[in-house]
Amino acid sequence: MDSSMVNDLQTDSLIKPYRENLEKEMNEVLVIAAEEFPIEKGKAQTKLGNLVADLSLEIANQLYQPVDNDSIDFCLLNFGGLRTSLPKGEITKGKIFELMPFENELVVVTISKEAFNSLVNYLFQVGGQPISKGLTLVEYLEQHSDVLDMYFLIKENKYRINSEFKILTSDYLANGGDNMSFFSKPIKIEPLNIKLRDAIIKYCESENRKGNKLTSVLDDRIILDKLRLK
Amino acid sequence: MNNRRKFIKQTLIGSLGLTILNLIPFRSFAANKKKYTKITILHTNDVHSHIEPFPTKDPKYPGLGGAARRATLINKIRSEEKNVLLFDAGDIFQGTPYFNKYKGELDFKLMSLMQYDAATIGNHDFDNGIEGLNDMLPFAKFPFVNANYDFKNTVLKDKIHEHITFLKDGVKIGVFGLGVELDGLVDKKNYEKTIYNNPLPIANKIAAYLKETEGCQLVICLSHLGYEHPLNKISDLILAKNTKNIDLIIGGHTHTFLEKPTEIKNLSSAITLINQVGWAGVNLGRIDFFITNTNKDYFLKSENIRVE
Repeated sequence: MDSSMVNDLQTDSLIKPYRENLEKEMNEVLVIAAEEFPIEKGKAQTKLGNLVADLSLEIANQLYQPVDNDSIDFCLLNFGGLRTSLPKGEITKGKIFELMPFENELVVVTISKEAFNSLVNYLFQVGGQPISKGLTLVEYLEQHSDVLDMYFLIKENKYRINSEFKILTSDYLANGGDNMSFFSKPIKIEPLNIKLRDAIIKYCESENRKGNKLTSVLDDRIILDKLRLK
Repeated sequence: MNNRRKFIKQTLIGSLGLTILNLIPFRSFAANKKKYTKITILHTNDVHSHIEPFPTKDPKYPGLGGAARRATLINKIRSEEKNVLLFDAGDIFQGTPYFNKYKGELDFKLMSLMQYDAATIGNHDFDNGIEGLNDMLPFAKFPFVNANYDFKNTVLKDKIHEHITFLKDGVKIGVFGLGVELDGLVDKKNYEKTIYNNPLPIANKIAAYLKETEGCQLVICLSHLGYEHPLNKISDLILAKNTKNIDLIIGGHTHTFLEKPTEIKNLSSAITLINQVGWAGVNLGRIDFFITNTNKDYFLKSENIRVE
């Protein structure tokens, strides 16, 4: 090894107490997970994805003050952004930094009905991404047809009436990350000035204060290829 | 085993206020036995609180970076070179739990220990608000330069320098800073009453002042404008083309890993160099200027050194 690349001792000793203190904080237990939340590749929805999408929406709703009094329809994130599984038991702050090492912030993006249709198509094409409760996507084959049909329900009446949809996501995705090109011409982007990671930490702390353990469910929010599943 | 990958080693000769004349290897220049003063410019940008090296399992930069090894590298260069200046082009803050917990204190202390000579302010340096930056300033034993943010209505009033000069071995070096447009990038509540001014006319005015009035042989701009942007948003490339009297732009913001400094023909048909070394302290930028005693010619050698 190149001798110039060893740690400078003076610098290292300056860092040391900060490092030790930080490690102490990162070892702080935020909440207890009632179950494991694994990264599961190839699934349309996962407990981990549902947990993070739902808690993001919950935290965002506490912060979001819409000028038009129109609330957020749902949250859309990406599996690629969730970087580690959460174990059953103690969840440390460091673990949340591992789960979400990026500095992405939550934003509310208002998109047109056309863009929303592209979003639905995208979700079927990529086989799902973490979404919150509030949107139900079901893909199935018509019994007497070979044509693959896609159905979705979103506060049904609203879909008929409204021409705009409000989606909670990260600034990274709003900028077209993970091929989310339907965000490319937004009607409006409203920053919530909170990092996704901080939202997760906030939620964990608040659940812990309430005496709750971390849980989430799989439900009908996104079901792909329903007939084949039967 | 030599773990230091030297991405580029290029030598070229230029002349102040004129175009770069020729590409000739360093040795043949040295053989001319012209008297020159060597000024070694070292620089970082967008370190983003990366105090520790990346984890060895990191997919992109396994084991790279880290303040303690950067310090070793800087110390080594200081022991070899007489006239070293060390700069940072902003976004010192934000990116690891070190910032979340210590709010920039350790970053500034480490930069002070490494004897940075100046830094400019990046958009993320406003992340804890203008008060958050102000609170950390006492830990920085080096000056901040910025010429296009007007801080007169903020707590940073009179604390940020428009420009500064250094005298190294008889060579005068002028340094000023430019910051990116804050609106749309930084929350208003964080930059408060900071006024963003168009960098172009300011850069021209200050560079002319530094070169002509102050008589600086070398004018350096620490820029957090970004290397290049879509549309016509002001960037280092646009800045270089549309100004004169700037010899080197040390850039940041776009996390651009340049293999070597970009040479741009500026308004007076001279060369303005732009360099940027990615982010997170993965690289340390180095450019050696050789300034002759007639103050007419200089040539440079540059290398971006991977900190690993």
